[in-house]
Amino acid sequence: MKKMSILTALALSTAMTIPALAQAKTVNLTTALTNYGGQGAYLAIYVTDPSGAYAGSLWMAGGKSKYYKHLTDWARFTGGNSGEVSGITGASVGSGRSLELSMDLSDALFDAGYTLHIDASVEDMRDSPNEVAVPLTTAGAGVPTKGRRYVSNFQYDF
Amino acid sequence: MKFPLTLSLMATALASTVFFGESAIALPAPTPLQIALSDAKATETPMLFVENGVGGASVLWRVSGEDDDDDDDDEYNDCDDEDEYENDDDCINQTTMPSGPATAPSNGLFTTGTVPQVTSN
Repeated sequence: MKKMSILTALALSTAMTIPALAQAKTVNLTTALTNYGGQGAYLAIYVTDPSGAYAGSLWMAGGKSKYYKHLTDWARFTGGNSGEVSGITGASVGSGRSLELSMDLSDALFDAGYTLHIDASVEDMRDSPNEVAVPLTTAGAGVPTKGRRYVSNFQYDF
Repeated sequence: MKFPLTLSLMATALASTVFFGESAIALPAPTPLQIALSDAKATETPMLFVENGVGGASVLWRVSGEDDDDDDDDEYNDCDDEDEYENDDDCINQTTMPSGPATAPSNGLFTTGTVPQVTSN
């Protein structure tokens, strides 16, 4: 009877684990900047849910939290809380340079009404909230999107 | 009997004048101020030698490379507020970057236990 219980528990745990693994995919995000000629750009990459509410951050390019207020939409959603990007923060991105990221994201984010946003800010230049806003869909993978001011091209690939 | 005492005082005064007068003549002429900066090894702390001949002794000051006056005019401080958005992020570790293990926040977007990676910047 005890052996039966162990086998049942093992089967249940396996059944719960395999779908979880299957529900994730590796996504590559590529953000190319224009030659705007200024200092390194701060970029906040985050996701909103189908209702437009903040769902979470994917990456923060720029390490000084005191400047996060210039990423105005992200700051409005998060209150500028640097804890939202703890562990997912890197260097700012130079003019004309590209930022390439690789991350394992939940499948539930795709084809479900979620939108990826990028806020951008550059010293002595205009802040650019919602520089990029792209729906996360399977069909949208590999499709380039132009930003409003600093981003020349953004796309995600599986 | 007063005469010898007066004579003795006069002799003493005369002897003192002669002695101190000769001592003054015997003192070496003041040497010009000499300053030498040791820069044989660039990595060493610069040392400033000042010899002014006072009592024949030299005075040595060590010149520190640091600004010891406790003011806020350190022009080499790259972590001030004037260089915002620097791409090099030299001062990240001072005030901004979270310490500890790099783990993604549990916001439900990432697969548990994985962390986004920068492949190029």
